Amino acid sequence: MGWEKTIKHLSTLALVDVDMSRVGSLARDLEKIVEMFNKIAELNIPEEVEPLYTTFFGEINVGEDNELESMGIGELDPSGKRLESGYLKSPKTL
Amino acid sequence: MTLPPQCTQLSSISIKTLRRRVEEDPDFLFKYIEEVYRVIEKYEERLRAYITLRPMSDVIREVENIVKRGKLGPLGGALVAVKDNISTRGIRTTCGSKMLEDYVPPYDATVVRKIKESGGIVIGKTNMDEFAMGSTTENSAFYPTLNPWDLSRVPGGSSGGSAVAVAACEATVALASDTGGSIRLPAAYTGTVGLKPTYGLVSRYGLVAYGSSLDQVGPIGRCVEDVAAVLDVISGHDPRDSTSLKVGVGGFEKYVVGSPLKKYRIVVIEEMVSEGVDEKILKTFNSVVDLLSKHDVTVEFRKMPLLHYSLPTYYIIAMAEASSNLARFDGLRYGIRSDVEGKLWVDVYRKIRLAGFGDEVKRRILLGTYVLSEGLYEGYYLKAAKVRRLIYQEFTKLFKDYDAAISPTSPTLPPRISEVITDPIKLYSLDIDTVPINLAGLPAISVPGGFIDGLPVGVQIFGPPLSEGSLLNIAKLIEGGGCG
Amino acid sequence: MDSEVLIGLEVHVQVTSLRTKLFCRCSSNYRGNPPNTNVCPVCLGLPGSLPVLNKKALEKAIAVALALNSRVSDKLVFVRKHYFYPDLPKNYQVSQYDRYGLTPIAIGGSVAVDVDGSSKVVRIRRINIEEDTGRIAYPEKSVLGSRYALVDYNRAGVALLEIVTEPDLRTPREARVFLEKLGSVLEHLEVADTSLEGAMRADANVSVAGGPRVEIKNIGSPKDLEKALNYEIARQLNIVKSGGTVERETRHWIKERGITVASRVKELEGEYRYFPDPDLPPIPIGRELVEAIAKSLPELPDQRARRIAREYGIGDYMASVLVLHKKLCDHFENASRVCGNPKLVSSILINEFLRWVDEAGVDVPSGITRLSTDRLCKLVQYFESGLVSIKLLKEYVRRAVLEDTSPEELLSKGLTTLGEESEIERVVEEVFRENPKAVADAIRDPKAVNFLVGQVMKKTRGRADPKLVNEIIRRRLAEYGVK
Ligand SMILES: [Zn+2]
Repeated sequence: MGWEKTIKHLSTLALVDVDMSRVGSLARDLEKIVEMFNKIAELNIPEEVEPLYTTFFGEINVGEDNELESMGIGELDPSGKRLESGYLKSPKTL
Repeated sequence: MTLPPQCTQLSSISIKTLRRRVEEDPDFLFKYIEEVYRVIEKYEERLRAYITLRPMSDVIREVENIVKRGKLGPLGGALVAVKDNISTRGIRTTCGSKMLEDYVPPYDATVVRKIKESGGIVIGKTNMDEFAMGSTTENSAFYPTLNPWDLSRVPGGSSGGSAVAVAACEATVALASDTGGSIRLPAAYTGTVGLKPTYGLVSRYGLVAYGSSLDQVGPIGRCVEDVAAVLDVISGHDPRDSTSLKVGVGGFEKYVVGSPLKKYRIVVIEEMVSEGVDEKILKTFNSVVDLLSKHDVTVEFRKMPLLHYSLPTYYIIAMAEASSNLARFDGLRYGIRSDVEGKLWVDVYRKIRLAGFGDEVKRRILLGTYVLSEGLYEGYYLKAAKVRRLIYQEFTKLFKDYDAAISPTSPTLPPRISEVITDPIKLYSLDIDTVPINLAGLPAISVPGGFIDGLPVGVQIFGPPLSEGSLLNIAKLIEGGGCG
Repeated sequence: MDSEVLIGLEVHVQVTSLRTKLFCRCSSNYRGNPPNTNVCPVCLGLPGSLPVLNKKALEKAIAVALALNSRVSDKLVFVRKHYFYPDLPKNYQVSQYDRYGLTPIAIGGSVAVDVDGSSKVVRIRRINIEEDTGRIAYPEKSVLGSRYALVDYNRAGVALLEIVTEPDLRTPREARVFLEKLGSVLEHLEVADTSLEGAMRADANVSVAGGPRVEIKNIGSPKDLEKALNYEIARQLNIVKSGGTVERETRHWIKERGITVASRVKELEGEYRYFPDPDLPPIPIGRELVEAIAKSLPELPDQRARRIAREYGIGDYMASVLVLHKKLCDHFENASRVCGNPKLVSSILINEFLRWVDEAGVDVPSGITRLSTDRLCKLVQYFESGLVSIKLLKEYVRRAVLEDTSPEELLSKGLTTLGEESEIERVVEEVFRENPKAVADAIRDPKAVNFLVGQVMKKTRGRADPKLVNEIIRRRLAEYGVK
């Protein structure tokens, strides 16, 4: 069924692996939820309606170009396993 | 104020009483703290409101330092339970997820900083649905939290831990977050008062994002007065949050009076009291409406058919934003760690995200990715954003005629453990009356309206942006009585 | 074949004139700092942190848009662009987008470039504001030899402008001059110091003979851009010539080896899931702000070229080359004022200085420290007083740029035009003795004199003034003729 293929694609995009032995029940769940989503397709919305991405209508905070104290990354690594001479260790990129 | 059996008289006092008693005798604070820890000692093992509870000795030491400096501030030493998606420096912040099981943030959320500066003491971090995705607190990666009124039932979610800690007198008040009802639903199910502020009134800096355009931090208390006191402290402009309103705030406590401060015109939206609402809940709700009418408040009915679309609109937007917000969890900088040597980054990321996220979180990330993907964006995400505009406009129109609206907080009584968790649609439907408020960025409060078969029933009052004062006043009319 | 080459550029410029990053107040000056020291919850993407726009970044972006004749949007809209990579702390980049009713900071625009004497206009498609990523290093020298990578987030969150052109460029040389001109505009605006390593990076889209578009990433300078394009165009032409088909792909420029190589990771084109960043609602851009910035724009390269051509009496082409490098042009104006002779100064800078700078692989600013105003003035002075010939002058510039040797030092080593006639006469005698046949030829045919002049110059290693040599030889020949 189509949903299993879609799940594979989404899983690649989102880097969220799916237990393939349970993909059937996941597919059923997602299908049900998307069916719920599809309800908005019924609505005919006039062209001129602008999408609303936020309900914040105040003046947006902006910052001045003045340095404040930085913190360094050490606090994130109490075990000392993540860092190597100040660099964060990462898996290979190639 | 009706309390569950876990509370004692001393452990259930209000912030105001605490502040007054401590001013008379600083030692009272230590007696109070010991009493709260006695309640915790006795009941926490069953209730499981907390993910991380600070040892009493730590709390006592902190209080001693505050007392030594002399000034306790408006919170007067209140023990504040903080939802575990709010960043606390030096105290692990798990978001109810394996992903962040050992994550100890290097910084305090703005709300936490404000609580501390106002004499509040963080007592612990509360249980929640993983990354706030859920309505029952059963989606916690660690354990479910139980409802103190009936241990076979859920406390609601996602802020179930915060609500239970307050309801069962394991804390004075709590901070929680509300994306689509996560404060109000558990408040309703636990007989507490929970307020979701106007979007932008309370800083989100340090709140781990779920749906950034919907999220707000708010207080849960045993009474309206306590909720107002905490809102006083946490609201206000924060230069670290671009979406923080520059409004003069504070003074919410003065709205907490037993008589109406104006001749309120209140509306009931018919769609919120018709389909799918439990008969018994409607009965309680109607009695609350009657009570308000006695206070010389006008209550009228209006239709808003657009609300039929609020659930899909809400979930499309929330999941889209969630899929983006949760991309950062890859185990590299913080959170669960994996050995990296000799491995390719993409394999490590997949492994971490497989192990770190629970099923509901994965579902929402996948669906959020789905509605944002090429070719589907217009039909789902963009369309939902347009429906959101219409819903917002409807509310704006509505509140030209009315000061506030009222509805049941939840269409049902608290479900039993495992009753809804297996059916996502059933689970999502618990939020039917709370999500429209977040879509429109409005303030809302849930206040106990009565009891059915020993279970609390919540009533939701919501209004136009920045109407928190009126909401607190109306909630107080419904609450009646004192505040411990 | 050149007419069939289409080149478009995506240029990323760090707004190095900002003190802090785009969305947090960490220092943006990460160069030379220990790894992961200019970082905070925001630029590390810690859970719960939120971005707050650096107001100055918006102002700088508007200035750039105006300078490139772009239309500035009436609102600033940020979007999230999603892809996973270890140098990207949030696994999305805050950027801008032009679909779904969203808008970049500026659309359209143009840059005029003079390439080897002919002018053309390169169209700008759009300008984005976005955040830079961290940097990845490797514990071993080679990427493949390393068992893991090392990430430094000091650069993460630094403000970038992405400037995208239409595919209007036709040759690698044009592309290079365009990038130099763009860099110069940014320098004149005081937006970026493009000479800093990594401050200006380009991705190039190239297609040859109607073939598919190939994207080359990771090009760090105008010079490398020219090289990379030369390599890539030759590579594609070779494929076409041998009957193959060029693949649509992304390739990386490997500077050290001078080649482009195919990326291993397949780009997920169109799968970035752009959507408006809910943490950064649109900021209205007032017309007053844009007008105020327009009014305060400094003199830009094109205006400056016209002015210096007029003011210093140098040719338009010379002026257009000078303004490709703000610091070079500053140097020119300064030196011309101090030492006079702007024609000579411009000729030294353009014909000699730039050549050696290029050869040595140093940047213009460090070249300028070697050929300082002082040294330039000395050279002008030596030349005008006849101490050095034009040929020697070139040698002086070469050694100043390549070896950092001062004119005084070279002069003291005797690298000078021979002024003493007796010395030249001595050499002429020598040459006459050694080349009797050439002397006889020269007596019969005055054109043959050149050979003798050449021999003298050779013996003096170019130090003699050829005019003087010529004169002395003719004098001696006249004497011979009498005999
Ligand atoms: Zn930072």
